[in-house]
Amino acid sequence: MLDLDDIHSGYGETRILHGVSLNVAVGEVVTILGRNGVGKSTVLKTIMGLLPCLEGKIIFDGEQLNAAQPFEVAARGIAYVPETRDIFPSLSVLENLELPLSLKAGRQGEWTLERVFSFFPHLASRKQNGGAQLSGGEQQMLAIGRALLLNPRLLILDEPTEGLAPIIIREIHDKLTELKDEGLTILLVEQNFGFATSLADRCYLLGKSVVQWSGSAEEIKKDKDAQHRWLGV
Amino acid sequence: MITDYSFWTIQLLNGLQFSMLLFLLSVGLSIIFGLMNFVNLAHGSLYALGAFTGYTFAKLLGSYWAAFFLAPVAVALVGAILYQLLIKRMRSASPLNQVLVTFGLLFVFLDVFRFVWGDFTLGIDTPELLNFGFAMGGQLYPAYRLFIIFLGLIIMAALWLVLERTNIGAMIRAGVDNGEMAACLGMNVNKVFFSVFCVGCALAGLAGVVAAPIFSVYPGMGIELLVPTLIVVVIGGLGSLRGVIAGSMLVGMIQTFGQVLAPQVASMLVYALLAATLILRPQGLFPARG
Repeated sequence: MLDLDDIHSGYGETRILHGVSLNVAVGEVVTILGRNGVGKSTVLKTIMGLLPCLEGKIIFDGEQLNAAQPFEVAARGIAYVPETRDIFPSLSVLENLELPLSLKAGRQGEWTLERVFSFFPHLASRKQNGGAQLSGGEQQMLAIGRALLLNPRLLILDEPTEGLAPIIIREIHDKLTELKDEGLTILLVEQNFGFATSLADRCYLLGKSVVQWSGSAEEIKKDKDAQHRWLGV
Repeated sequence: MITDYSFWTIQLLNGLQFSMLLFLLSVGLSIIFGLMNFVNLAHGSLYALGAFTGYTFAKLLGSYWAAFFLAPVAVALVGAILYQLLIKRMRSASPLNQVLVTFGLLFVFLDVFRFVWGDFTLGIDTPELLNFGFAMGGQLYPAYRLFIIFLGLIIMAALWLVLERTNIGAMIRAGVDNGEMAACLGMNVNKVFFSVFCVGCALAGLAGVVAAPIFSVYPGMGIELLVPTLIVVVIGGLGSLRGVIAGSMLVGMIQTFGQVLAPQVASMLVYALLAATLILRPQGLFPARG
């Protein structure tokens, strides 16, 4: 479904990725692991068109996405939940969720406001609250709910567990597992090794700006050497 | 005179009326600033353009009201052309380059006005419909000035409704909060920018044509009003409607009452307010991004 072929990317003069290749098949959950600052988030931002793809190819559903702008990437069916969640503070919870609907960029599908509120009952009771008044966990749920309202074919998440309490992490884990069981394709960037490997089918280990290791989640759990070298676990 | 009730009422109305003009002029500038991170100093020229085109329309068509509706449209058109030819390319430029280019535009417009309309002061007659006054403490207070206050309030309410209560308003607020995230949810940010830019230009043009019967129409009028407009935007905080309302009220009142009560220091007062804001609350009174 998604193929990254030798992509190079970075901010201005600074290159962060020097030829990253990976792929995600339909219905798979794939995770990108790696130490801080190896460029995991950069991979996701490059897919979204937030950073320029300087070399290499991004192919989604057989179409090249290299020069696509973020709104075009969203329209093709990729929804993004950034590390900072990026809830719009001057919009209410309801308005945050309605935004992808009123922009009409996403596809028609099974995700509706009602379904998001029953998926995340927490949010239903906070409809009229301002985006800035939510706890970290609620913000994460809102960011995921908002992304789902694009009815994406691929959901990409950047460190959804960051800064959250263990009980909330468990809840997010359950919700993502539900989405996986429904057949949603997910690309996940994580620091939380246990969270990532219990959810993912396959893993890529990023180090020194390229992919250093790839394999199934079961394999990486056993490969202490790779864990030690590229994750410092 | 200081204890005279009608004196205060008249000054208050004058202050309100000046505040409303500042509001019409600043609101476009502020939202464009907040949404696009773009400093458009040529906004002042668009105000003057509104007055000049208003003058021509009124003369050709013999009706102030025709000018009232046509001038903002003409200014929005010029704004649209400006955007497509120049501003679109300057979007990713550094703030210094943006300021230099749009500052240059101010002078280009200045010479265009001189070339087309001549380097002298023109005037538009107050529309007949509003050419009367209300008796106030032995003077007549012109109805046209009350009309400006009324118009300002209506536009304020309309903008508030659109920004706070509609989907389009939510899109604009989302774009001001975080343009990248809005784009990732499917917003064609450039298209929204363009529309907002044109509406901002139309409001600047409206301010120009509305101001024309009170102030005279001359090439430098935009540059003159640009400074208080920028002060309004900075005091209020970038990109927020509440900020622009608060900022234009403060600047309008301080300037008006300053000129009457303390003419020696009046021109300084607004700058003192600006300095105080920058020291105590550099983000402005009601910034869009908390």
